[in-house]
Amino acid sequence: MNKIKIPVDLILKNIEESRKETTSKLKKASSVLTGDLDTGISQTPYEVVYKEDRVSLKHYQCDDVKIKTPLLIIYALINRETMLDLQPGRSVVETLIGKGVDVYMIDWGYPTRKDQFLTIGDHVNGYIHNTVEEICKRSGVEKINIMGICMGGVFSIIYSALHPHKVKNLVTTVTPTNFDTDKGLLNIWMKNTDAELLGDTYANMPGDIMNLGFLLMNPARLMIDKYVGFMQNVDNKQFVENFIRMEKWIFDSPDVPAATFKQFIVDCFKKNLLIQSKLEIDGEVVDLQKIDMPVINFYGKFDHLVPPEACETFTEAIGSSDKEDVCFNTGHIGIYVSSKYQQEFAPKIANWLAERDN
Amino acid sequence: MTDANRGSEVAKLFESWMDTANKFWRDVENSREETLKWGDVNLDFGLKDGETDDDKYRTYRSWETSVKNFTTFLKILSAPENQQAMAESSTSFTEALNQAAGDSFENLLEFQGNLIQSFARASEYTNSYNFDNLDHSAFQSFRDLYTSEWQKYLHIPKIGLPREFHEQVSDLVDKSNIFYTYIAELFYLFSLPFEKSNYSIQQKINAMLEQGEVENDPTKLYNEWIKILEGNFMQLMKSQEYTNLLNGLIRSLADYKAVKNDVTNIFLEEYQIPTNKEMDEVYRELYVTKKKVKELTRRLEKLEEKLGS
Repeated sequence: MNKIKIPVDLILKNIEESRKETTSKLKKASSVLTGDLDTGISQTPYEVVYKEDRVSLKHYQCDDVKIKTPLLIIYALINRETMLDLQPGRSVVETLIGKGVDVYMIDWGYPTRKDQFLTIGDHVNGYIHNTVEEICKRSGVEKINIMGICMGGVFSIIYSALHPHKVKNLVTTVTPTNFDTDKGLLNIWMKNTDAELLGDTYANMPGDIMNLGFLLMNPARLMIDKYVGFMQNVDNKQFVENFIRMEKWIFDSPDVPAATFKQFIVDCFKKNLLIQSKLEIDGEVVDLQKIDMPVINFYGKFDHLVPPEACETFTEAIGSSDKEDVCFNTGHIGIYVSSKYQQEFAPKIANWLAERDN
Repeated sequence: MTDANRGSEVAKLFESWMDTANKFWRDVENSREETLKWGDVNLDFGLKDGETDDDKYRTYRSWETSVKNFTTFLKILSAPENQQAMAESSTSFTEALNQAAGDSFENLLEFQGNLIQSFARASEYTNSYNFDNLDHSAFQSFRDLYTSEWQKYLHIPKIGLPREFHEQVSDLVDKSNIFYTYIAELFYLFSLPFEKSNYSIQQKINAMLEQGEVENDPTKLYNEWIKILEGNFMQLMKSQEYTNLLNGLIRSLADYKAVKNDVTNIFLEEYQIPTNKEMDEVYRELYVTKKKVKELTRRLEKLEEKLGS
């Protein structure tokens, strides 16, 4: 019988080395965590130029406007628009301004119980339309450029179909339009559960519950590995600062008004009405053929929240002849915050808008 | 034992119980008379103006009458001519009790049987990344037992002035019981990917040790473990079992929260604090009014524009 030898001396040596390494790391970590950390987000200067109920319109300072048509960014009601301006050097807003885009962005604020009856129509035909009017008035233009993100992209599409005369160019990013797919867990769950009940149960859909749902889509990575990674790099000041910025953003989750949440689940996830041009908003059908302005549609190949299958059929369904799909090899958030796509995403938008700014 | 013999045994038991009860109440009566005769203790607290002896002891007299009536009733019941009827009715009563207990006991046994089978199936080996043969019916068995056996006691019709309150509290207990079985099931389900991943990685380590190999870099093992865990979770999340559970959880949460709000509202109303329900009515009115005002303002602005031009 062969006797198997275990290199005990090597194991003991490794343990000793790890111990020394850990002790040194902890000393450094202590000085990093107790020292001055720059974890501020949303630092690009702006002023609030319009306010209605909880909603405000941010206008970013741009000293050298090269594209005369202003751009309105419409973020989702889930999480906050600060993701587009995480930190200097990693900010979509900063890059767009740098390219001469006059940027406005809607801050949806924090809905309270009194906002529970607000529908998608109230957001699109109310808040969005009023902000568009305000921007037109301020800039002296008839039409503006619109860029929508995720659920905000859905709102942008609805707005563009209902008010095409107000939209010069439309940019959709990670925007779901075809909900009839089983590629994303959200699609599976929303289709096969009575999630809309939660709207009534809580009056508004709590942001924390939605966040928990997103974490549970990949608990191994989002609830374990992420923090193991943090501990491995806890002695790296820059890593810690970036990590805290992301934590600040990701757990800053406003509630979603109940009526909007229910309408989104039932009409979009369950009935898939938007892509079929059957969705009705305030009694009016959202006909995608009415989207006749230039459209560029970005999505991520590895997006686990809005899979490519949910995005890529949009441009086929619209009336515009000037349209383009751009698929990046990244995930839902990577498009906006990864270092690699900082060089590709926002510059591509600025160039595309500049080409159509006649 | 034949039915006749059983009846006679029950009759004897009943007779002896009647004798004991008779003696007890007779002793109580005697002791009361003795107490009133105590010379040293003054039980006469004096009569107030216009108060007769009957008024003074009216509570006691009412009690005394009740005791006397009850002992008379016991005497009648224990009379020889009533023995047979009593024996028969007590047998029926015993049978009814046995029947009720028997039903519950049978259901309990069935539940235990299901539970044992479920645990046996759950502990069977299943492959990594496979949740098709998942067995978590122990929780469903518990819910079945709960709904068939215990829920009915919470649904006993409530009576009297606080009927509605009692009904809501019972409903709250009922709904929370169901909700927490789903929560327990969810935790159980989440434990499975860990169990499978740990088992996979342990097997790998074991195989390496048998070859005399040791992984010098624990990070490599961790990376492999987290990859397996991610895969296992992904499979679980995509499974029909998980979606079904999620739906059950959402529905039971909605039911539980609704009735919890109802009960909370009772207390808020008691302290005259506006309830969510009341505030929601105000918010709805506010929402409708604001919408109308905005629409009218828009129309007015258009009219002014037209008039101005």
